[in-house]
Amino acid sequence: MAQPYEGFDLNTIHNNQAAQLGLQFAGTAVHAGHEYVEKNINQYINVSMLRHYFNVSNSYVLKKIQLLLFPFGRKHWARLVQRSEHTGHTTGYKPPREDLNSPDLYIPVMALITYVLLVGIVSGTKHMFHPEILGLTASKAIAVVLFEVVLIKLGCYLLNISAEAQFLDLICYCGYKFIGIIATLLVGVKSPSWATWSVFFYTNIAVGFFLLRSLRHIVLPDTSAATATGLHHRKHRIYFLFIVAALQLVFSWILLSNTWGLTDAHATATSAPLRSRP
Amino acid sequence: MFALGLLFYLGLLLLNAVAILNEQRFLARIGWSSGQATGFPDPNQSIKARLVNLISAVRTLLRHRDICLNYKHVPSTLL
Repeated sequence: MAQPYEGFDLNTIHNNQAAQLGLQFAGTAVHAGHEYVEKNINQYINVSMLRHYFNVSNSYVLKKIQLLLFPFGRKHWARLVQRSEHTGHTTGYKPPREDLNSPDLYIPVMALITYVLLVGIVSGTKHMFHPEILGLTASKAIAVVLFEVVLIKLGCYLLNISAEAQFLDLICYCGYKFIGIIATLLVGVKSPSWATWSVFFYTNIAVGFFLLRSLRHIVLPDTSAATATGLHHRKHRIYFLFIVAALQLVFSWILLSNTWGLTDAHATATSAPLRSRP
Repeated sequence: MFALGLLFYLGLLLLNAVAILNEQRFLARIGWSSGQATGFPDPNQSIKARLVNLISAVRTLLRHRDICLNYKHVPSTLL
């Protein structure tokens, strides 16, 4: 069979000097481009840090979702510390793959997207779907998460909590409430309103409890070290923790409010023609 | 109104509200003036002291913006 481009045959390319040179040049160019992109992205976001938050496994995700929905039986909430192999010094926390208590960004991001799509589906089942709903819902969800993070940051500043609480950690913790919201939305599609309300309250109490236990290590770092900061602040910090946990209910209600408005509109829109039908 | 824009407005208006508080006419009268020397932060600072610090920090940061916006009416002491 005749080859139209024999010079670029893969078998002869190793013998061709010019092709070797070209390959090498292309390799370095791609490498330089890759490095340039990495450097410029790293100026704004710490990519290796982000990788740490997305380092999850299937079993971690399943167990974490289970923990978020049923957090009451768990005993150990402290994060595992990663130690360097040579010196034994601590080099940060273990990634989510190895530690169930570590916050991750995978579940919040996926839950946020699922929430936006589910709101679209729910409004579709009520024959109220409009493409605008997706954008508005996403904007609302991001705004609520950002607002909550800013609120927690302000509280940390006022209560003199050390800046050990990473910004990304807080985004993770704020994003976990979407799991409860998704559960409420899924139940709300077919169930009566009392079931939806009870699922709503249960999941929010569960997520609040989860946050209470997880944020405890940020807000009240150590019982022995806490005596240095004084009992006065300790009391305020405990109040702060409870307020953050209770705020989950408010934020979830804000995030779900438009779908509940839809159910009302659906009831009036469909029941009226049904009643008028002979 | 979409929510991200609402959040942006909220932040902008709150920051401006803090920035226009007057040191002599208002803050000093209710005892929120940032009189003490700024140094290494004391770990046992009260919440009020932190708030006062925050307000004075926001006012310092936004003073230059306000000077630029009001360049025709700048008091000579600020220049």
